[in-house]
Amino acid sequence: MFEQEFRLLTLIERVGKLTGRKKLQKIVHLLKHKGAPFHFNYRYHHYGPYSTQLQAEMDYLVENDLIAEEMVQGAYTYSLTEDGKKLLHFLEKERNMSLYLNDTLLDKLLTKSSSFLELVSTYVFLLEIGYSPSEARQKTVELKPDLVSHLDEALSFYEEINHVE
Amino acid sequence: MFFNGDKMKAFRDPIHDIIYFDKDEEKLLLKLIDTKEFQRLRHIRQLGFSSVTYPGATHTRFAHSLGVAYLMKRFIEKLLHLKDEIAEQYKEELQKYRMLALASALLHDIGHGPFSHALESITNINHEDLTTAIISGNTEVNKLLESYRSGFSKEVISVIKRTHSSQAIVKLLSSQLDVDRMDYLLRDSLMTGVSYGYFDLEWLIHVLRIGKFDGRLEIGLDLDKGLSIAEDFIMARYYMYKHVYFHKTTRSVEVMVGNIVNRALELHEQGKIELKDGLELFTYNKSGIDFRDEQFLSSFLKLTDHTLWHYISVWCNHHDSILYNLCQDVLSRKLYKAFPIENYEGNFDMMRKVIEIEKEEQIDAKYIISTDTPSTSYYKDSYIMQKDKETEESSEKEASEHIILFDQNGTGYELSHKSDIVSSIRNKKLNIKRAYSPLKFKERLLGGK
Repeated sequence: MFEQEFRLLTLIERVGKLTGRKKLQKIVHLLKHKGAPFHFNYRYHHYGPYSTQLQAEMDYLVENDLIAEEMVQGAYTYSLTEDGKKLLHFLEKERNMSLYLNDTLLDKLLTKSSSFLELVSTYVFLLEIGYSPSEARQKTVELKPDLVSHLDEALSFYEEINHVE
Repeated sequence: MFFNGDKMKAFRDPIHDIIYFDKDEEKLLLKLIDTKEFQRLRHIRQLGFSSVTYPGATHTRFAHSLGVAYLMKRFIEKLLHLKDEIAEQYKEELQKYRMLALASALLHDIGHGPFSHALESITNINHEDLTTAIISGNTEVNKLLESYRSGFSKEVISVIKRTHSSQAIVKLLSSQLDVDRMDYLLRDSLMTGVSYGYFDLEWLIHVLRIGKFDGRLEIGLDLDKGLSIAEDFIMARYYMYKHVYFHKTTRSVEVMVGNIVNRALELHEQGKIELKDGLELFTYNKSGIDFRDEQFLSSFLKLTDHTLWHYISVWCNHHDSILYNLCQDVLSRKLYKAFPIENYEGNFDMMRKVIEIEKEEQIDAKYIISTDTPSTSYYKDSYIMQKDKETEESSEKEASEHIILFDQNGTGYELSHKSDIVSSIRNKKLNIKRAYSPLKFKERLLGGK
């Protein structure tokens, strides 16, 4: 009961205030890629890998006043409401729920911009659907021509997070 | 339209009447249909457990997949005959990728496992990932695609996964106005007998357009002639979602069968049950097996709805009371009872009662109560369920769902900005929250002793 709610509430609590729908989508995708138990299905969209399930879950949590959604300077921001905190702490205390999120990995992801994560997430998505690293690189150039100047940096970053245990 | 009967393979179909594929030009499709991986779809029901609620809903992924490929053919044909300037720009692309589009449409659901979406949350194996694995793995499907053209299987995957360079083909298969959705809405509506899922497909094809919106290619409808059918299409989706895909009885069986599989897994871990005939795949979540592994794939391809029904029947005689009660109750349709949950504040009291029952009965909470919200359902309609998002700064923009209406000049408008009905549906969320519980626990959870 409430396992799905618990995972997202934990992530938002850990981050404090998360800025940008894109950043949220890409962070969850990359955490999932590294083994975090988020079971959202991703498909490729214009702005990179995107999960309608994750968006639906966030909308549901917002609708039920567990997560606050605000538009701040052209980006949606997310934080826990008091009810959200109450539910999270109840589930931790009474139901003994827990979720391990790799702090090192999460901190690294949070330092990057939404667009940069879009590039990394796109490359990772291509690897996940069977592209070799060189094919994925080539396809990322085709899919993300506007961001290509950051591609080398993005691939180095991927290697870096790939080594985070 | 004239068909040379000798050249055509015909399939009778309740939605499209006769589905034709050309025996020469579309030979690849006929060969793909004959593969064992595709034939398996005859044994996977399109709507999982919906026949518990709607007895007629026994149609299969096989019929749906044929319908999607046929609709793709009709949509492309329509777009190739459009005379406007924008459509002209895409004709070459549509012709070039026609066979790719048809093969992708035919194969888009080939990775579906038993009971369609119902068990994905337990195995954590998504059918789209399995679709990719089947198309790229050591399978008859892969061999046929590669013999058609080297690298063709990867192209099919890129269409299904939406990374292909032809956005026209990608969006015909997967967008808010795609052939997949059109076929399943009409098919599910007809087979359930729920007629409000019907919409006028012929008129929708008649007013189909292609154009650009927000700098990107979109498949849309004609603003003047297509507004009413677009509204009808959304209403059909809304009603089907509310009354069929999210029906409380169907969801109740899904929850119970999910619990059967969960219990079988627990007993398997304790060495009290053997999982075989493909059911061992349910241990995937914990075993860390790569689902692209050849042996895994081969076991998966043997697994159909029938396998699971067989074991549900066998487990009716198992010595574990949780398992046999669940199996007997599912087979005799004694289902978990649904009740609304209002808010999370009230849930704290209910959760405390769950903890009490857990201790008294020595059973896990999932066998006492399961919650069900639109977000936990696998049938999602992101257009009717997502409020239109405010415009984000360019670097922060993320996907939003659109249905585009094009005027005579090719200017596109989002449907909900042109239709009060659609706007109203999109902004009034379907906030259904339910819980399911065996009858013996329900009263206590709701305040009784």
